[in-house]
Amino acid sequence: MALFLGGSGCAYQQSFGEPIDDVARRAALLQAYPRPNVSQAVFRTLIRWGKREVSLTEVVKTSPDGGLSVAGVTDISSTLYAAQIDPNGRGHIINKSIPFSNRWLLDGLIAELLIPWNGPNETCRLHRQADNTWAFVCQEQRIARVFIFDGAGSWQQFHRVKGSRLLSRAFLEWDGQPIPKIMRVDNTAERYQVVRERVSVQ
Amino acid sequence: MQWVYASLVSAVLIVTAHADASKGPSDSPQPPQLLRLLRESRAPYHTFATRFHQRKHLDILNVDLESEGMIFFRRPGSVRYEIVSPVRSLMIYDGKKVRCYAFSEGKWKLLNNPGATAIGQVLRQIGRWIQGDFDADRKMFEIGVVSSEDGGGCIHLVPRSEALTQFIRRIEIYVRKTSDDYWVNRIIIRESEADMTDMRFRQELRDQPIPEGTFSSPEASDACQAMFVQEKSPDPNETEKPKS
Repeated sequence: MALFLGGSGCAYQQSFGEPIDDVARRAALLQAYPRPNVSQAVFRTLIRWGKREVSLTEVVKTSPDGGLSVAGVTDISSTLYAAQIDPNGRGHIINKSIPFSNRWLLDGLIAELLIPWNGPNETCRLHRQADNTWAFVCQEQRIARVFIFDGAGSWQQFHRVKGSRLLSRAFLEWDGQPIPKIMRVDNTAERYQVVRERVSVQ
Repeated sequence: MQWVYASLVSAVLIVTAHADASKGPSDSPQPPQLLRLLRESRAPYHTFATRFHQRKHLDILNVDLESEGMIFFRRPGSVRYEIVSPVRSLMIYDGKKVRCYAFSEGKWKLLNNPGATAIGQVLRQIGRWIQGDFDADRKMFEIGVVSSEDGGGCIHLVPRSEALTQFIRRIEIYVRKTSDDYWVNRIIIRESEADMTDMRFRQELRDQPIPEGTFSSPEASDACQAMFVQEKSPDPNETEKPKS
């Protein structure tokens, strides 16, 4: 499988067709991917943009109230960013050492890190696609979040789409754990790619 | 994505502080005795190798990120800084050029890291500390020494620059004395009142043959690790209490 597909193309050609009212399928897919019941997860992260690359360690920690704390640390142990996500999903940057806006971090790097924690939910519409895959589509104002499952019901991809424009696309590789073994993100809007390898889960 | 220059926080800021330092005070008539003794104790040796245990405390997550690593140094300024677990990363400075590697998806990957110059500054600084050389730090930091009863002590580096203080409040370098020998067994970098990086060194080897490729290749990793004695308890210093 290619590492990333269509990095330069931003037009989103996917047509989902009409939603399907398959209650059993819908329930099975939702049940298969609940929010991971882990207290902490650590990832090895490689970010690439153009020909440049950096590596870092990212941590996700869950709190009893359902909130999340996340941080990224460089290989020389400096804190790249730290943030908290409320149980309602609202994010707050606590500190950062990168000259990007809080919104950029929350909607980009951090949102992509938290893909497994923000899986499909009851508000999503289920579609059967022409290639026999399944898609859950969640429309949230102008942004659509698309969760794509293969025919066997394994969650394979996640897309963020704004209108007809693909913002980012993630490929998930599973090994039976509640969090993917590898997550590959191609952020076409910001023109960077990320490979996250799960290091540990508690 | 120019942010990487800034993202390598300490590295970048140290470089910045270096530039600022030329405007500020930099003199101290006599180095404290402990600094002199440490430097003199290190002077006879050409190479150093040490293992370390690193604990990064992130207060917001109330989490400690722990890792194991090793540092190799050869005069005048070659440095290998390698994290061996739980993730593997490597930074090599051969005296001229910095190379950064990450072990990803089962193999070493040479990174085209735009922050390499800043990382080189950090590696050179590590090399100076290994030699007991704090001359360059005097430009960036106020240096204080708190002696301990056993003849060792703690060297405090407090940034002169307010900009640097936002990211590093203080660096504490703990020096242990054994007979007539002095060595650094612990470094604490306090990023804030709550966040810190605590490095504890052990199994220091001096003037031992350094494996081929140590300062040029990630493939020397196994040979480098083999230099050290395998141990059950990774941290013989772990019963020590942090000094504040």
